Amino acid sequence: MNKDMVINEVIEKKESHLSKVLGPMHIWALGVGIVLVGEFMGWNFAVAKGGSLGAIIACWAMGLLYVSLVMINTEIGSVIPEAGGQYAMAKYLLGPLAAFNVGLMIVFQYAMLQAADVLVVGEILRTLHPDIQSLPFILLALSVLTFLNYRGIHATLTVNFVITAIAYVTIFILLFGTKFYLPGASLLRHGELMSGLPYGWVGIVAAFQFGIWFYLGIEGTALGAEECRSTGRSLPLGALTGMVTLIIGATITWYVASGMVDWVKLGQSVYPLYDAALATKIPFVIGALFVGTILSCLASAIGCIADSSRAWFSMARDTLIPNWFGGIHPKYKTPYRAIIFLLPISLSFGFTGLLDQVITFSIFSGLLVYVLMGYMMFKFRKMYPLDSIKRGYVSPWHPYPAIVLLGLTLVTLVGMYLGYWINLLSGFLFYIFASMWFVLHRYKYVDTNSFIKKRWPRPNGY
Amino acid sequence: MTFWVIMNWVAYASSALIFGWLIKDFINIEKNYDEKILLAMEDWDKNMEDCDKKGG
Repeated sequence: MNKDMVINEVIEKKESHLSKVLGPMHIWALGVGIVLVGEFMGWNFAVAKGGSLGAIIACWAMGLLYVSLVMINTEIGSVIPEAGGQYAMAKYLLGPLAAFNVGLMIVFQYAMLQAADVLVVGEILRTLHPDIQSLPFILLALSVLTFLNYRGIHATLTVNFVITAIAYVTIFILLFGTKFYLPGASLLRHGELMSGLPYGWVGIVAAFQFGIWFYLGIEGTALGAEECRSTGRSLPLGALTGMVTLIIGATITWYVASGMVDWVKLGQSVYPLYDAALATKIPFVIGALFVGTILSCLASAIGCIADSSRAWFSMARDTLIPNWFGGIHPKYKTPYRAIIFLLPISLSFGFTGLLDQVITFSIFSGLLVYVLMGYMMFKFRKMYPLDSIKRGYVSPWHPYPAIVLLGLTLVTLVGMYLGYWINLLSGFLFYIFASMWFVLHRYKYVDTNSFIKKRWPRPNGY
Repeated sequence: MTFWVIMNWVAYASSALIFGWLIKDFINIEKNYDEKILLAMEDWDKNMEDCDKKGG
């Protein structure tokens, strides 16, 4: 053992472990907090692609995709107690190149989502007065949230729980503000404002990618695994209750927005629920949704910074990217180098102001991960059959969740091609070039001995 | 200058302060990281010398 390895080991043992402080509430907040913003913005582009009915079909179809994903994610994630989520799963099940790609996809998925979040914060603040600019508030939101993550995850996610809960409540304030329960006094006008299926089944397929926006990021619950007090309990409980929360919220969101805002306007809006609130002309409801939209964006951005930095940190610790990024702050015990490094990337995409383009790249990255997740589930069950390794959760009805996940993901990619083939092509090229860099340059620095932790048992047949 | 224009500048200034703190703390930690590595190396060298003297 040489001198450098001993030094690294000493420093690692003293300073390098993330704190184990998270419970089910925090996992729920980590998952829902990132995702709830999808109710307040982004999903409505599905209306532009597929019409009002196309959007709700996309919502439910993608709900089915995500239930499958969460079950798979939770089973595998409950066994791998490392920060990195799907990245860590790819590491153990598919090897370094796939792990590198999954890590990169996760980082960009959350970095783009974070950019979209702060973009919406800036845009909605502009509705207060024409003199307000969006850029200073985009910068302020990013700086504050980066600061919170830099200082520590426990306090950050506790704050996230509170603001996520407030944002969720505002959706119900809007729902009850429409007086949907009083047929004579209801403000909802579905008959006048909805469109049906203006583009047929092709429109439904094209709408799928934005239906994803209701749920994208719920798989981020697995990234908190290393910091759970009890992974086997917190992860399944938090993730599955998060899914229930989101499906209810998505349905209410579609129901209210489609009944309050004309479908053409709805398909282009930057903040559809806020526009629905404006249509009620009730000041309290308008104020609530103004606050709810901002809080949901901030909650999402907090979770995104946490998830993307932890994925980058994990890749560095496994030497897939330079080890320097794996540094832990000696006082706050956070992956501070990863947090600081990823900040300019989100900032630069936030500056573009092109919400649907930013969202599309985030969704594309997520879809590629889901394809690999479906494949990984098959491989996981083959390598580690039931009873061969202790699981905190067993995904029921295997292999149907994996088949559903793969099928719906591939259909969604086809739908994305219909509307955003340039983004699709650019995204594929980016990951291909990144893979070439990894294989031709980086792979010689990968420490394959430390890639798999020693406590991981040998797979079946090895 | 309206209240909202002032708020824009307040937001810019606040962002600058926070980013400034982050950068300052980051640079400070990086300096200390170098020091700790050096200290660990010095301890290692001393331990090796002691070990050699004892014939281990």
